Amino acid sequence: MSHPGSVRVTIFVDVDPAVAFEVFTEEMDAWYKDTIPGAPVRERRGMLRFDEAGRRVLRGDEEIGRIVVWQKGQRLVFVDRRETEVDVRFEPEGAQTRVTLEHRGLERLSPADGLSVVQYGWRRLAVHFEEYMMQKEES
Amino acid sequence: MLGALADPTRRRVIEVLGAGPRRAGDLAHGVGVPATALSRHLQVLRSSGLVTVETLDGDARGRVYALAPDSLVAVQAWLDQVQAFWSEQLGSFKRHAERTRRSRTR
Repeated sequence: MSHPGSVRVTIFVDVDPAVAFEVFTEEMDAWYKDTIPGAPVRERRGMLRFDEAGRRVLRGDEEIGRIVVWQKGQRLVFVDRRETEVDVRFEPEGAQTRVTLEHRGLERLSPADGLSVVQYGWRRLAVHFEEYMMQKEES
Repeated sequence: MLGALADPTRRRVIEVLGAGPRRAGDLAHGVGVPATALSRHLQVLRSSGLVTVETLDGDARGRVYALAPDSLVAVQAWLDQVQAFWSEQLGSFKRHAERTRRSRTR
């Protein structure tokens, strides 16, 4: 059981851990969904990327987080400006990679927090919310 | 809590309040329903502990609605949102990684 202020998501990807790590960290602009309807243009434009040398997480040129752990092919941990922590592990599972992402320290934010709305928020996810809640109710 | 959020209008209320507290009139406008239709939804959301209301100036028109930040149900609902957010992102990551790998090994 994870901490009350954390969420965890696990997926399996049909690539090896080294490739998974590389794609995750170097091609975030290709897979990360960063369109926020109604958000300022500035938010939509800046692509998220990791600056390994500078230990920074950047949106465009703006630093929005710090890299805490960078174990190539195995593990990546970064913190955002509110000190919530995202821990991503890449583990071999047969011919696949098990990717486990845990987002911790969420108790420092709240649903009423403006930043949480922009970053992870209600607004962006409204489209997926209905389906998600229905699945939860069924299970 | 799930029952309270099973209704699309109520989810829209939560979404609008996620951007900050709103007076009843502004909230109805933001949600896009008449104030009269909104009041019963607000009643459900208040009784489920997701939304709080404060009355300003002793005037009913001054009622300000807000997400209940300390409410366990509100926090859980929001954690579910964060989890759904990352599920969506990792799903996108998986699709991209597998597509990329296939093209590389061809």
